[in-house]
Amino acid sequence: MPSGRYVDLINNRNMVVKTQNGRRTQVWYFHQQSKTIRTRYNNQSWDIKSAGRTRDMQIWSTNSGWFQVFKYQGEQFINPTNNKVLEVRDNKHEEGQALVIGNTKSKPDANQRWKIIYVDKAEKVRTKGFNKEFGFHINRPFYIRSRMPMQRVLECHGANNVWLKRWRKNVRAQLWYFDEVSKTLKNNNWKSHSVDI
Amino acid sequence: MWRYEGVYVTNEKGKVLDTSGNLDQENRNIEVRPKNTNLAAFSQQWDIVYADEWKGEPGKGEFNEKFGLFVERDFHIVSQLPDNRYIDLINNRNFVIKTSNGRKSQVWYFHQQSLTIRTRYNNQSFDIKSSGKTNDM
Repeated sequence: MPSGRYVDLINNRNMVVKTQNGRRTQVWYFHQQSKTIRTRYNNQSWDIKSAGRTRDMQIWSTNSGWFQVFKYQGEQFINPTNNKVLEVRDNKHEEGQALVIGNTKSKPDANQRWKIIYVDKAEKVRTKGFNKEFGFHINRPFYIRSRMPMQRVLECHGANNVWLKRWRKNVRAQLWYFDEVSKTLKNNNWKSHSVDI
Repeated sequence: MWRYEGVYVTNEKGKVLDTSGNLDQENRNIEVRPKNTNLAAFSQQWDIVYADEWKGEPGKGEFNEKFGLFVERDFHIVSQLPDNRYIDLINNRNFVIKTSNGRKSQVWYFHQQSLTIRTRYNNQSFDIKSSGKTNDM
C-alpha cells in the first residue's frame, strides 16, 4: 500500500500493518521444517485464527496445520489449501490495521500485495538528518514550545505525565527527540518512553 | 506516532496536542483533541525549537522581542494625552496618571521570570483587578 507499512504484531498476537519501527515483531523468517513463516519475536508461526475457520491472522505455536502454511508467489502470500491470500482488512490505509485472508483476485489490489525486504540487505536506519514525512530532525533534541503568550514548553513529569511548564536551563525532561527506529517522540530524560495517549 | 505539520503536533487519527482547558498556566496537563482550525486556538499550536538553536531567555539589559521591552531596565510610562503624565500609583495600589514627580512609584521594569511589568516601588506587578474580571488596574 502507499505508505509501505510492515507486517507487525499488536498484543504480541494479532497481525497488523505498522510503520517500520525496528522491533523484532517486524522480522520474519521461513522455517523449513514446519513450512511456516515465523516471527523472530518468539518463533511462533503465521496462523489463521480458530484453525482456519475465521479470516483473522495471528501468530500461534507452530503445528503446521493447513491454516499455518503460506507460500510467497507474485507479490502475494497464498494459502495453498484454500487459495486465499494475506490482505489488509477493508483495504484501509491506516496504522495498526488488521490483517486477514481474502479471496484471490486476477488483478490484486495493493492491500494484497507485499514486498519482502531481507534484513541483511535492508537499508540501515538513519541516525541523523530530517525526516520529511514526520517533520522532525532525527535524534536532535528540541523543545515543544507553546504559542500561547507565556511560551511555556512541554515537560515530562515523572515519566508518565506531560505538563506545560516555564522553560528552565538544563532540564532534560523538557527536551524531546524524534526516534527514527520507532518513529516516536521520546523524552531526553526518559528515553525508554514515547509520547503516548 | 506524531508528525509536526504546520504548527500542530498531529497523530494518525488527525488529533493534535492541546493544553487542558486552553489555559496558559504552569503545570497544565497536555491532552489530545480534534484539531481546531481557528487561527486563534493557540493552545494547540506549538513551535519546535531545536536545543542547539535555542537562544535561552534574554538576560538583564537584553531585549525581549516578544514583549517589546528590555529586561529589568527601568522606564517610565508616559501618556500621550496632552499633559504627558506618567503612570503612577495612589494608595500604593491603584493605577493613575500623574505629573512626573521622581518617585519610585513612577518607575517600572520588565521582569523576565514572571513576564510581568513591575513597579520599583515594591516589585509588585501590573494586574487587572479581580483576576481580570474588571476593567480596573
